[in-house]
Amino acid sequence: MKNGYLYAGKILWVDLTRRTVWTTPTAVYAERFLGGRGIGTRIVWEKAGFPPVDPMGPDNVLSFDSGPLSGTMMPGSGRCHVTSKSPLTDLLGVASFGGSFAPELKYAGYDHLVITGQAAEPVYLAIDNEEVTIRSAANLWGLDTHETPKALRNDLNAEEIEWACIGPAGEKLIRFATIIGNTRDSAGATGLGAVMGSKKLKAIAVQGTGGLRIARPERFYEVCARTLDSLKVIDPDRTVSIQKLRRDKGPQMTVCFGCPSLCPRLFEEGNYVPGMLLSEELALCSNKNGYDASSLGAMMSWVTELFEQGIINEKDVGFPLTRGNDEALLKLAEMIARREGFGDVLAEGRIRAARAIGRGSERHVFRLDAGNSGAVSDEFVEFYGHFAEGVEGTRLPFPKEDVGKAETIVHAEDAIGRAEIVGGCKWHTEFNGLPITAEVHAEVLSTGLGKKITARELAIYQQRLHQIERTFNCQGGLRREYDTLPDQYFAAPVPEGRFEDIAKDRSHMEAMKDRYYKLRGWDPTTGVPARATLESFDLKDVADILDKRKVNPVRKDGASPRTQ
Amino acid sequence: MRYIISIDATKCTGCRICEMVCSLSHTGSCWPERSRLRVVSEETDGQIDSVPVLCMQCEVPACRLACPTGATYEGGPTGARLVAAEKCIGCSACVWACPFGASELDLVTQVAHRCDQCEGDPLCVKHCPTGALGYMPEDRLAVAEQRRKLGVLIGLQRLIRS
Repeated sequence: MKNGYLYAGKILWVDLTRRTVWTTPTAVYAERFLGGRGIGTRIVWEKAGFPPVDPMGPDNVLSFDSGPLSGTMMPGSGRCHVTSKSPLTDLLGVASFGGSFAPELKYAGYDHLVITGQAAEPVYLAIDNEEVTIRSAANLWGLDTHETPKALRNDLNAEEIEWACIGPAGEKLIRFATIIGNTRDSAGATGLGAVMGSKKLKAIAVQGTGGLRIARPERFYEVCARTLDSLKVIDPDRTVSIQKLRRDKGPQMTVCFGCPSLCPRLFEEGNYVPGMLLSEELALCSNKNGYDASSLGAMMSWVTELFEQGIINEKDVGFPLTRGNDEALLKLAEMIARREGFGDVLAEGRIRAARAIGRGSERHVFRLDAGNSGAVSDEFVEFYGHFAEGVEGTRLPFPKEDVGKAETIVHAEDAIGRAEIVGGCKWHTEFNGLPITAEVHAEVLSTGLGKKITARELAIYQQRLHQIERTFNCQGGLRREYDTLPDQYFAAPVPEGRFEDIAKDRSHMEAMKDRYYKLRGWDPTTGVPARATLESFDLKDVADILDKRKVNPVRKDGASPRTQ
Repeated sequence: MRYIISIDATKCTGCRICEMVCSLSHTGSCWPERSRLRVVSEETDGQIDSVPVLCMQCEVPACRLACPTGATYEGGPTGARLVAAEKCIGCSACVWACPFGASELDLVTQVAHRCDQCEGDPLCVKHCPTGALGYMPEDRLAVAEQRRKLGVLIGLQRLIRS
């Protein structure tokens, strides 16, 4: 990694409290963690892992991560991962957005951008190659995510910028706020927009004119071209999205950097919303205000249900809520964005809101946002949701019986982890039925870096990611008993159709957990990564720290970290 | 026969695969600033429109007329507007003269460059995932454009009828 191929070579650190900026070599981290989410997770684990920090305090760190393949010809290389401690779940927060932000960051000379501290006044960060400035965002604060880029361009007097920003939701510390990138795609999961808001960082503008060296350009081109050809343009009709809704109106879709897939991303769309009936207006509202469309959808159906059941009434909300009344829901959504009245309660996320409302409202929280990483760290959402129902929205076959399900999940998580440490897109893997396997990633990396990396080695890199992520969460109090779903989930009738054969009770889930922990090498009683496992992945330092820190297994407030 | 790389901006998704293959094949690096064609994007109220910009192979090339040293010439198998690197003095006259912004000075070598059509097999066209870029003899361009417009018309009529 020291030869200067593929990597930009530096990590950019910004301390907003002291208003200082410095760089360190990427190689220090890349040796064991490769890049992308791997390095981001390691950085957050190091800087904000212990003692547990306040996610919205100055001690939390926010890392924007690219991988070695970001900004290259490899399809799917436009994703930017964001890692931090989540204000929504109090666990490791992971989300990603598409566009050209990560490539531009690399062209400017940085593989990662790590934000620490907290600014006294609203600021934004302007990166123009080596020149990095912290500028006043007094003019930008309060603007929505459609107005912000325009204001950024005016302020910098530069057209060719790539940007990421928060909307009013992030500023108001709404716990499911997002970070929106330049194709209107958002890092939607786990409320990282609120972390950016708490740091008073309105936006980041990047301009880079550099390039990425390739060790064996001809071979690299061949492998990438072959991969490109293997990805037929994804049929928009096959994916559930607002894109379909807008296709006839919008002349053109904007996709991520270097990607041939017409993925479900159009400008209004905040997030991929599997099977969620979110009106166009609500989707646009969530994108402009900068909160997660999926969390909002879940919130709206929950609140409507509460209203219909008489648990909340007009006195609470201020106006009646009925199913299908988009106008009322839109009004409520705007109230959430401004934290007005009842909106202030809901801005805390479903679990916290249920606690505040009481009256048995939590009994109507049926499930977590499975399949959309809306609730907890990626790993766990996929873990829970997919355990029960298979992988929604993908072609991954899932066994109807419980047998083999843990293996399926591990397989899917490994593919996703791999794509996200090399700087790729998780949808561009065998997880989604596409032919980008570990061997393909290994071959592209090898030709780009000029040194042999095998699929086996890649597997070890991504194992480190999973282990560090779990360690971070265990340090924060996560234990086996929290790896669960709400009681209501099990009480609800099994939906008709393809889920009919699924065994839906706790004993089955516990058996699947046993199997999953075994596959991951975690202690079966506590769910904490075993020392032997960590050492086998060359993570002795992590094991030592786990021992040293004897973290109290129960959190102070007695709450499950699995909150939404 | 002169060949043209045609552009259908309505199909461009702004993915920039063309910039990647171009810079990779010409400079051995993934470096958009050194690509022979650039994708320009404009954002209006959240809607992003993108268009690829590259040499239009003008019959009377302004770049050649402006070049004070005769570095720009028509050559290669397709008669593309090429630059003789040894004659180029990096004065940017061709950059100013080009009506499309398709001439650029290379960031590293300071020599002017523009699309050379990859000697008759343009990689950007080959890898464009939506067909926003096409490659055809100049006498087919008008016919292709007429057909494209007919397609738009048919689409419109269907929309009105439905």
